[in-house]
Amino acid sequence: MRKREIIETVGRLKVNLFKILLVSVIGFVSATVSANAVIEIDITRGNVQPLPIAVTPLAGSGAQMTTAGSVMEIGKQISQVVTADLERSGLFNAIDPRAFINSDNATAAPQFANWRAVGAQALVTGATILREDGQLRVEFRLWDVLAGSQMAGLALTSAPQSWRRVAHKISDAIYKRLTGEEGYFDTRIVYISESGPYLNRIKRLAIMDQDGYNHKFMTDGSFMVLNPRFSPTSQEITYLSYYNDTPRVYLFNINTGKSEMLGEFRGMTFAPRFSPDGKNVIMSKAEHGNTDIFVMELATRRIKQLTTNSAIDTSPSYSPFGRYITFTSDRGGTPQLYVMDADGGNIKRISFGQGLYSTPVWSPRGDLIAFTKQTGGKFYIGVIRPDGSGERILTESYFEEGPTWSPNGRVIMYYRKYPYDNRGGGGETQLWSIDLTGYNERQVLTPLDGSDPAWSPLLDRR
Amino acid sequence: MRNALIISGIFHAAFLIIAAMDIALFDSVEDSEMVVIPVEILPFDEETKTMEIAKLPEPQKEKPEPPKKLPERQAELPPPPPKMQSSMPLPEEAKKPAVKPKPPEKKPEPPQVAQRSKPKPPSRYDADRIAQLLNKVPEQENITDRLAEKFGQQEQKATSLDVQRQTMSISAAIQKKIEEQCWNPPSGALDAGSLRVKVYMYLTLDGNLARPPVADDYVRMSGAMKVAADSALRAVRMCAPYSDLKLPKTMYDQWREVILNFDPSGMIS
Repeated sequence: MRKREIIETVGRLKVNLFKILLVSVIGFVSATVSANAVIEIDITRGNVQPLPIAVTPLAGSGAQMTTAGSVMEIGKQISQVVTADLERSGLFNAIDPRAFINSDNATAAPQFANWRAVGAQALVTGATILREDGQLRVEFRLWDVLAGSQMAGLALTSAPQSWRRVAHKISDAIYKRLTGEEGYFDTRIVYISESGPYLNRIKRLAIMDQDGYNHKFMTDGSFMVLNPRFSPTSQEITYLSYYNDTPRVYLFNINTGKSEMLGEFRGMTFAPRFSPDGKNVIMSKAEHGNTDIFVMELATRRIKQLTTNSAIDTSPSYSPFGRYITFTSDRGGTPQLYVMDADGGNIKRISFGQGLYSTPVWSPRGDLIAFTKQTGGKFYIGVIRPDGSGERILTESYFEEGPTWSPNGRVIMYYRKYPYDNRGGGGETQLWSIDLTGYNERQVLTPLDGSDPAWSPLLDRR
Repeated sequence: MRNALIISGIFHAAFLIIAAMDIALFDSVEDSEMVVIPVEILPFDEETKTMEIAKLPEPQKEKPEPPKKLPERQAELPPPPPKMQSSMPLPEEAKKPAVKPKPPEKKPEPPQVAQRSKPKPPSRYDADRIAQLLNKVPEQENITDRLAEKFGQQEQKATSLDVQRQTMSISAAIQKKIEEQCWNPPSGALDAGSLRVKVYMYLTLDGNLARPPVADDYVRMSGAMKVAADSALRAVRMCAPYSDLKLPKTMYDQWREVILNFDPSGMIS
C-alpha cells in the first residue's frame, strides 16, 4: 500500500510538473509571439497631387546696389522665378506668400510649426550676398517641413545680371531633390517665330529661356527656316533653310552667330538631327523622287546612306546612346514609325494603330518615343515604347505636331496651329507643353507666333 | 524494492532539478528579451527629447493640442468611438456569453464522456479496488480539469479570432487613413511604379509618433528611390496623430510598431 501510495504520489507530481512545464512553455511561446507581433500593412493607393511648397523671398540688403538692382530686389526676383518654374512643372503648388505667417531667413532655422500651419510640406529659404569682388553669392536651403530637416542646400556665385540662370539652377536642384529626376529649368528653347499673312509668312529662327525670357531672333526672316535642332554637346543648332530657294541643312553657332551649310548635295536635305555625342548629323535627302536617311560625320563631312528603300524614309532620331534610330517610312503603304540599328540594319515597324504616324523623337531617358499622329481629321501627340507597345495619346487638336523632349524626358513641347477662318484670318501657331502623364498642358508664350520648337539640353551639360 | 525506491527517488529528484533548471533557463531567456525591450524604449525618449530640444520646440506646443481636439472629434463622431470601444470590450464580454452558452450544451457531454469513461476505468480498477478508490478522486478532478481546459481552449480560440479581427481592423484603419489622406506618391519618374518602400512607424499609446518613422535602407538610397521613401515618410508624418482611429489600447503591443509597405505599382504603370 505504501509503495503504491508513494508511486501514485510521485506519479501525480510528475503529471503536475509536466503540466507546469507545458503551461510555462506555452506561456513563454505565446509571450514571445505577442512581443514580436508587428502589424504589417500594404499601402497601395494614394493621391498624386502637386506638393505644397513655400518659397520665401531670399534675404538680402536693400542698401547694396548691383548692376542688376539692389541685392534685396534680386533676392525677391530669384524667389519669384523659382516659384514660377516649380509651379509651371505642375508637380508643385506654390503657397501664396501672403499666407506666410512669418518669413524665415537663411540665418535661422525655420519655425516649422508656422509652415505646417499654412500647409507647406517643403520650404525654400535663402539669402543673397554681394561679395567684395562684385559677384553675387546666392545661398538656398530646401527644408522638409514635416520632418523638420534640411533636404538640400547650395551656394551659387555669379555675376549679378545672371540672376535668372541662378534662379533656374536653384529650381533644378529643388526639382531634383523632390522628384528624383534631373531638372529642366536651366535650358533654352529654339523655335521658328512666325509673323505676317498666310501667303507671305515670315519665319525666323528664335531662341529663348524655357520660361520665355531672354528672347532673341537669330535670323532676319529673309529666308525661310525650318526644323531647328539643338546640339546635345555644343552651342550649335542645325536647321533647314530655303536659301536661294533650295532647302539645305545648316549649322548655326549661337555664340558667334555664324552659320554654315552642311555639304553640297544633289537634291534636297531636310529633317536634320544631331547624334547624342554631337559628332554626327542624321538627315533625310530627297533625290529623283526617293527620300532616304543619311548620316554625316561633322568632322570629316563624310556621308553614309542608311536606308535604301524606294519609299519615303524621313524624320530620323537617335536613341539616347546612339545605338538605334527611329524614323518615319511609308514603305508599308502609309507613314508609320520604324526603329533600326544605327548602321541601318534590322529595321522593324513599331506603330500599327489606325492613322498616319510621323515625327518620331526618342526620349532622352530612352523609355519612350514621342510622335505625331493624324487620324479622323485631327492631330495627336502621343508616346510609344521603342518595342511598339504602350501607345498613349497625350493631346489632340485641329493641328499639332513637332514634339520635342525636355532634357529629363518628362515634358513634351510641340506646336499647335489653329484653323483659318473665311476672312483670311486664323492659322495662328503657338507653342504648348504637356507633362508625360498627360496632365499640365500649358501654352509657352512667345512674342509672335511660334512653331517647330526644340528643347536644349541642360546648359551646364554642354 | 527499497533500492528501487531510492533509485526512482534520485531520478525524480534529478528530473525536478532539471525541470527547475529549464524553467530558470526560460526565465533567463525571457529576462534577456525583457532587456531588449527597454533598450528599444530608451531611444524613444532620447530621440523625442532631441527632437524637442533641437528643432521642434513649437511642435511640443502643438502636440498637446491634438488631445484637446480629440474629445471634439469624439463628440463629433459618437458612433465610431462606441463601435471601436465596444469592439474592444464587447468581443470579450459578448463572446464570453457566446462561449458560455456553448458549455451548457457541452456540459451534458462531459457526463456522457464521464459515463463512457467510467466504464473504462472500472475495467482497470477492477484489478485493484484500492486503486479504484484512490483514482476516483483524481478522476473527478480530471473531469473538472478537462472541462476547465475545454473552456479555456474555447476562450483562447475566441480571443485569438478576436485578436485577428481587431488586428485586421487596426490595419484597415491605418491603411485607409494613409491611402486616402496622406500618401502622395511620386509619379512620372522612370519606373516610378517599381519604387517600393518599407517604413517602420512607432506609435505611442495615444496615437502620436513615438519617434520619427524610419524607411528601410534609407541611408543607401538615392535619386528616385529616396524621393519615394521621402513621400512615404511624409505620409506617415502627415497622418499623425493616429489618435482619431481609436486604436484599442489593450492591443497596444500589436500596433506599437507598424510596418508599412508603400507600393505604387498598382496605381502607376
